[in-house]
Amino acid sequence: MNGAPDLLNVEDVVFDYVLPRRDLFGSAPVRRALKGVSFRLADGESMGLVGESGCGKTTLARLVMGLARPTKGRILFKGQDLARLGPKALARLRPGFQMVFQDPYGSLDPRRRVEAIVAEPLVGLGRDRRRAREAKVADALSAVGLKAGDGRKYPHEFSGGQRQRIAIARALVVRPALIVADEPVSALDVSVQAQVLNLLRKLRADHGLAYLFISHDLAVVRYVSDRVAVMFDGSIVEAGPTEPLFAAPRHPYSRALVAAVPGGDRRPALAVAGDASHPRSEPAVPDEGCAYAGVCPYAADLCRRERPRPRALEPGRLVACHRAEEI
Amino acid sequence: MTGVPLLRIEGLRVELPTADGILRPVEVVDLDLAAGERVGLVGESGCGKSMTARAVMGLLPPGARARGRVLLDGRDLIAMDEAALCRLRGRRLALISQEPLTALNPVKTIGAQVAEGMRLHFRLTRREAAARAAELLDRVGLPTSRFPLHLYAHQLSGGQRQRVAIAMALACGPDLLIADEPTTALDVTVQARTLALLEELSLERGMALLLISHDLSLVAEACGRIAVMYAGRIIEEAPSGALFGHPAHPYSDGLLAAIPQLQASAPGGGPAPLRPIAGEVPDLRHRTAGCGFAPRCRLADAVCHGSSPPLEARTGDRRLACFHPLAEAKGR
Amino acid sequence: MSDAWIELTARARGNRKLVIGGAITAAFLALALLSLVWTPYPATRMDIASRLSGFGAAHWLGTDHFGRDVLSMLIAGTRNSVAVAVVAVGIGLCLGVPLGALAAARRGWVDELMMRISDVTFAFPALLSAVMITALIGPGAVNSMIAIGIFNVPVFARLTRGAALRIWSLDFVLAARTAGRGGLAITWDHVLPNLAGLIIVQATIQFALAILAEAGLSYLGFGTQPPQPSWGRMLSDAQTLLFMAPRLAVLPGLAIAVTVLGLNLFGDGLRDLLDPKLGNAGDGP
Repeated sequence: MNGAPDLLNVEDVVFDYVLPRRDLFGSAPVRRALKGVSFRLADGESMGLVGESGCGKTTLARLVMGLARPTKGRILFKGQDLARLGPKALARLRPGFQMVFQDPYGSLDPRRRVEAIVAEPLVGLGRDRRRAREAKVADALSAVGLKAGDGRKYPHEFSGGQRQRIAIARALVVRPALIVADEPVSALDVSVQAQVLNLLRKLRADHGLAYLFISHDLAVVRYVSDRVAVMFDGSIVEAGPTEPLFAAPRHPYSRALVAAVPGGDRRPALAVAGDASHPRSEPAVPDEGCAYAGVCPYAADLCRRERPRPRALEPGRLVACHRAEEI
Repeated sequence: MTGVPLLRIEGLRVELPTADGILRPVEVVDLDLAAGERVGLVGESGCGKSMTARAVMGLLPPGARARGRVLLDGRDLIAMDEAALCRLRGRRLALISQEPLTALNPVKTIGAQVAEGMRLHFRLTRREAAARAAELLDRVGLPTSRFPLHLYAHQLSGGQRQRVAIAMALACGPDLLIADEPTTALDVTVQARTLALLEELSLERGMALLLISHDLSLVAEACGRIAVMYAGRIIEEAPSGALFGHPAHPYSDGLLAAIPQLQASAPGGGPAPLRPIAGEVPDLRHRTAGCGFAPRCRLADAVCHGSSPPLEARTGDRRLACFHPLAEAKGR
Repeated sequence: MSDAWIELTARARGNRKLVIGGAITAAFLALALLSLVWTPYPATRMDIASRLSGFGAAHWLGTDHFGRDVLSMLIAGTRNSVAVAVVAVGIGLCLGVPLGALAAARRGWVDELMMRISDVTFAFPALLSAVMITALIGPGAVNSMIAIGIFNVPVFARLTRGAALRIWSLDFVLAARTAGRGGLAITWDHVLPNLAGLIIVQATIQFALAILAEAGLSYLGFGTQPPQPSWGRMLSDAQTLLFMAPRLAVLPGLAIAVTVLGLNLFGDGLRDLLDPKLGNAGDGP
C-alpha cells in the first residue's frame, strides 16, 4: 500500500441472511454469509476477489455498493460510513462507485434505448442538462469502443460482448473512482472475454480507476488485479499481491484453487474432500474453528477448536491459517 | 487408428427450419472415436458442438433434422427409429449435460433414478437394482453411508448432483459417454475432481468419452485428442499436446492467445498480454459461403471468402480446414 | 424499432385466436360506439301493437313483450356492458396496479398489509359480494361498476406484485439502484414498462369477466335498472316467456357468450403474441 488515503475501507463486516422461518415462535434462522471481512483499497488500486460459490464474494460486492447494510462492521467509502448515510446523501456519493454485473442480458433494461441506459446514472444524479448528458454518454460509448450512433439502438440488437461494453460505459459515465465488477466476463465467449479484459485494463490506465474485481476464474483475476483476496465460506483466507500469491499460495484452500486450474499439477485440488463429504442439507461446518477444517488435508485439533485470524506472514501477505508456516 | 472406430460421424448436418429460412447449426462434421478413447470437442457459442452431441444421441430439438451418418459399431443411428434408439440409449451410449439442476427429477430419490436405466435395460428386480445403484454411487464418490439412496436432488449440491448424473449415465455400462459441458456450472475445485472422475471411469471401463466444452485448457487435460469447431464445422483436429504447442488454424491460435493464463508469464514478469480475436462469432443466420472464420481472420483473402476449406488430413495425425495454415514449426 | 413492429404485426396476423378474437371484440366495440348515435329503433320505445312479433322485415330480430325492438336493445346493451366493464376494469387497474407495484417496491409491512387485504377480498365470492354491495348501496349501473371494480383491484394487485418482484431481482434494476435512482423512479421507468404486456393481457380477461358479472347482476335485478337496456335484464325478462318466445332468451344469451368468447380468444392471442416479446425482461437472445 502506498500511503495514499484509502478509497474503500471494509472493517470487520458481518452479514446474515434471514432464512424463512421454521416455526412460529422464536427468531428466524440466519445464514451468516460474511464472517468478519476486512480489507482496504487505495485510489487506483485493483483488487481481485476470488472464491467459489457460497464464499460470500457477491454478497460483499453488494454491501460495498451500498445495496444492503452489514449486520455488523462498517464499510467506508472515502471515509464515509455507507450504512449511516440517508438515501439522499448516499445518492450524492453514488457517482464515486459504480458496478458492472455478470449477466450481459439481464443487466440492461430491454425496453430502453442504449443512450437512456448509459445516461441513467447521470439522471439519478440530476445535475446535468440534457446536452451535457448527451455529450457524456457519447464520450462513454466511444471510450468502450462503440459508435455514437449505437446509442439509438436497443440492447437486443447487440451481442453479449457489446452489451457488456454498454454496461461498462454506464458505469464509466459518471467518472467513478471505483468500479465493482462482479464476474463481468464469465458469461462471454473466450475471444470476446479477452477484448473486454483488455478494455478494462486500458480504462484503468486511462482514468486511474480502482477496481474490485470479483471472479471465480483465477487467470482472469490475475490479468486485471494488483492484489488478490481469496475467500472461503464468508472469510478471507489469504490476501496479498497477485503474482506472488498465485505463484506460491500459502493457505491450503488457495493451493487447492490454484491447483484446480487446468494446466498445472492438480493433486492439491484432488486431495480436498470437498463436495463429496456430505449432502447439503446437513450443516457443513461447525461454528467454531476454521471453516476449512472440515475438508482440509492439514487440519489439526487446533484448527477445529479455534478460528484462525488473518496474520501477516510477510509484509503485505495475510493468511488465516494456524499451520501456514509448516505446510 | 486401427480397426473400425466405435463411433464414426460422417458428413453430419443438422438443419433447423425457422421463419428466417433453414438454419444449419451443424454444417458438416466428420469425426471418429475409437473404443476407450477420450476426445474433446471444443468451441465457442454457436459453433454447433452441443447440437452435434444431440444429433448423435438422436435427441435433437423438435423441428431439427439430422442428415449424414452416425455409425455406432457400424449401425447408423440417424437411420434408426425411435424404438431402436431407445434400446441403445443408456445401454450403449449415454449423455450427461450441463445443468445438474434439471438433469435430476426433483420428485424421485437418487437411488430410484440411478436404478431406472438398469431396470429398463437389464430387467433387474428392485432390490438388485438398488444394490448396483449403491455400488455406482459409491464409485462416483457418494458413499451410501453418507448419501443414502433415499435422498432427493434438492438435498445435494451442484457437484454432487452431477455425480449422480454420472452414476445414472454409467449404470448400464455404456461404451460411449458424451459429456456436454459437464462442469461448466460447477466450482473450480469441484470441476477438477469431476473431470478426474470421468477420466478414471473411462480408463477403468474402457469407455470412450466425448467431452464437449468451451474451455480448451480443461479439455486438453482430460483428452488425448481435440477437435475445434467454429461456425458449425470442425476446423482443426489434433492430439492435445500438438494443438497447444503449435496450432495450425488461425482460429485455434487466436483462441489460445486469448485465454488468460494463471501460470505462464511474460518475459518481464506478470501475465502475458491477451490478444483477442477481432469481431464476434457470426450469428447462425448470417453465415456466408466462404470460410466461417474469414471475416475475423488476419490471413483471409479472396479464396477464403469465396469457398469453405474442406477438412483434410495433414502430417502428425492432424486434420485441418484452412487455406492458409500457420507454419507447423511455430512454437508457443 | 420499425423492424420489431413489422415482425409483431406479421406474427399477429398469423395467430388465429388473435384474429378471430380481435374481430369479435372489435365488432362488439364498434356496436357500442354505434349505439351512441344510432339504433334501428330507440331501444326504450315500446310499441305495444307489435309486441312479441317474430323475425321480420320491420323488426329483424322481433320484439319483446313490451314491443321493444330486440336488435336495438341488444345494440344498446352493448354500450351498457362496455361502459360497466371499462369502468370496473379501470378501477381495478388504477388502484390495483399501483398497490401491487408499491408492495413490490417497499416489501416489509407494506407488502404484508396489502397482500392480507387482498387475501381477505379474495376470500369473498366475487359475484355474491357484488350482489351484497349493490344491495347495500343500492342497485344501478354506477354501483355495479363499483362493486365489480372492487373485485378487480386484488387481481391486478397480485399480478403486478408478483411480476414486479421478479423484475426487481433483475440486474438492470440493481444497476438503476447503483445509479442512484429511487424506488418511484425505478418503478416508473423500469418495472412498469416491462409489465405492460402482462397487465394488458390480464385486462382483456378481466374485461370479459366484468361483462359476465354485469350481466349476472342485471339478471338478478341489482345491476342496470330499467329503462336502460341490459343483456342481463333481457334474460331475466325472457324467463317467463321462455316457451312462447325462446328467442328472447337465446339472443341476449348468445350475445353475452359470443362477446365473452371473443374477448377470451383475444386475450389468449395477445398473450401468445406479447409474452415472449414484452413482459419478460431478462431473457436471453
